[in-house]
Amino acid sequence: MRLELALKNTFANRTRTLASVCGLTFAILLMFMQLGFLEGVRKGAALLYEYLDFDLAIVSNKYQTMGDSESFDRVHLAQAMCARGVEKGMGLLLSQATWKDPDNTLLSRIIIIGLARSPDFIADPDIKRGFDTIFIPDKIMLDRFSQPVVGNIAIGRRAKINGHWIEVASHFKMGMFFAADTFAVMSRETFLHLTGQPPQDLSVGLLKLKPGADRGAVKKALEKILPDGLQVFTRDELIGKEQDFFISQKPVGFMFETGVAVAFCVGVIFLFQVLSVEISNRINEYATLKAIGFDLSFICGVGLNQAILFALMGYAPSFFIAIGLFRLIYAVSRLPVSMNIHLALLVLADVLSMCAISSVLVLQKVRRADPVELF
Amino acid sequence: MRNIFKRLTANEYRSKGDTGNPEKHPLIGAGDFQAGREKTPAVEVKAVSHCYGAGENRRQVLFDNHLTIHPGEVVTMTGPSGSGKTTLLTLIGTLRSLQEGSITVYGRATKGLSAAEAVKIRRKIGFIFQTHNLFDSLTAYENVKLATTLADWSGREVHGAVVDILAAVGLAERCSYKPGKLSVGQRQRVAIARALINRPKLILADEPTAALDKDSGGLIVEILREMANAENCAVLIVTHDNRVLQVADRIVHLVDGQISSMPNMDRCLLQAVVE
Ligand SMILES: Nc1ncnc2c1ncn2[C@@H]1O[C@H](COP(=O)(O)OP(=O)(O)OP(=O)(O)O)[C@@H](O)[C@H]1O
Ligand SMILES: [Mg+2]
Repeated sequence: MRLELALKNTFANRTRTLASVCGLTFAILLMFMQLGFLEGVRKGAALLYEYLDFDLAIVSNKYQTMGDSESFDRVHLAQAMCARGVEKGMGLLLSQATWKDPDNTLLSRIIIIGLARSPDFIADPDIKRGFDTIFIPDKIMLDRFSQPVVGNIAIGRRAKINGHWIEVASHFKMGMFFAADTFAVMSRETFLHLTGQPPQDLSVGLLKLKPGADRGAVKKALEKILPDGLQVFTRDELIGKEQDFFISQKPVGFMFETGVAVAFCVGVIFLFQVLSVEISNRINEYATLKAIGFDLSFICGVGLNQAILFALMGYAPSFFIAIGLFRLIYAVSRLPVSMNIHLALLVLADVLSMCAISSVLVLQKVRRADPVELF
Repeated sequence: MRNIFKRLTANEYRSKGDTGNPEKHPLIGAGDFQAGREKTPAVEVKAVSHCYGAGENRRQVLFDNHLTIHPGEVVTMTGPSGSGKTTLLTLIGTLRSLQEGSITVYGRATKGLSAAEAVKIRRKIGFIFQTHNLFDSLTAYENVKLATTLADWSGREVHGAVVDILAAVGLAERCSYKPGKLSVGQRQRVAIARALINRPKLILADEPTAALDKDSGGLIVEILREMANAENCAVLIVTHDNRVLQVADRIVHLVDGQISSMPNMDRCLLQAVVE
């Protein structure tokens, strides 16, 4: 009966209900967007490591993120490759650099990635396809989703990285605009040429294990073998670390988290307002319920049911609008945003807590409904 | 004086039950009135006074009132506007907390009750308000059905009972109407059906017929009277309506916050004297 009454109350005034649902839809959509962005940044942050196939990674203690890494001597990779259970290894070179298009006066920030010729470590089909092209000196593979400031990125285009001429030979997809304007994958040799780093330098050592080897055990063994200045991560750990860096260390995470909080508050306030009006309009009816012996829990139950109804009615359309907007945003910004179960449930949980909070606020109003006024 | 009057009332009540009047009250049976003479009164009001406001604005509106209503009895309360009738009614109905004196409802003291205890007592009371206060979004049928969730009804009984009681108040054809599409009088009848559906042991009504025409008002009065007889419940009606006065077992007069002893005439006694 509680639910029945809530349903009937909610649909008694269709126009008002529609208006309320529209407002809620926007608040919830805002939440979808902000959380979607947050997830997009998180996903995008570790895209490079998603593109690579490996089991364990060795990095320096001072390694922060792919854009801010400290190199170590490649002898330690060789050392690790001799350990039990390790099948092969590949060195990864990372560095920040400048990009200068000849038609453009602006310098843009680029992250360059140097790879050894070990195609086994490549998981991304785009990089796999263009892999051979980068082993021609001074030819690079450039991010198809580069920022406009980077200029013309067509294949065959020549530009300067750190003042040295290079040529775009193929494309891959990165689009991490919050980390750099563009990304380039190149051979180890080109990388060393552009940066002038000593040849023994290495940013990340990637390892593949023999079939059946236990990652945890090998990781422990490597930690013992390698000097104190180095750390060993599994692939998932490295990806998680990379993602957390952007969420917790860079303002970009804070930005979207604030957005989520604001959207949440807007939702609570809106829902509170809607329920408040709803209860005010029926205060005599609720007082009557109290007078004839319904307890507060029944009456609040009706209120809570209405809150949930409103919220779910707002949730459903915003879910579908979000799917559409995510596609649009991906097409425009290349931020890897998309609808997934995790996001859907997260927003649903937020929406339900929105209901709980606004119902508690509205409850005060119901409590004040005084049946004595009815006589 | 008041005490003598009460005793006479009780005697009259008994004799009326013995002789009965099947014509006027078809539901009256000798057994009903036997049962009606239970020891515990339905309502016992003792030395009740009540004040509104505080400090300078404090104003006493009820002064040392005594009133006993037995199960099966229909008592009407009249009195000038502002004399405190509604106040007394809300005190009996545990809607307002008691300040001075004592009120018992079927032996249960209502002083200092917790909210939960008051709710429990109110479930046994049928309230009929001056304004109807039905749920606008529910049909007449659903409004009455809502009240059944307060009592132990089996799912199958409910439908029949709701339809019956709506038919009894003359709204058989209006079951699926929402309050907005009912006349004021019809709404009031739905509210009455809602108050009666759970067979309350006590009915408190404040001007229940004020909004009704002669016929529907009369119908309501008949229903309340029949409830008292058939279900042996006590009925207290605040009214100025002659039709209500006619079916009452007893009329009490509240003037300036006090149940006055003189005009507090028992209608039957009055009739007996006249005859
Ligand atoms: N909530 C309140 N606060 C202060 N004074 C009140 C309040 N309710 C009623 N009163 C006063 O108490 C007195 C009795 O009011 P009450 O409503 O009991 O009268 P009544 O006999 O029911 O009148 P009526 O026949 O007009 O309904 C009135 O003088 C009224 O002004
Ligand atoms: Mg009154």
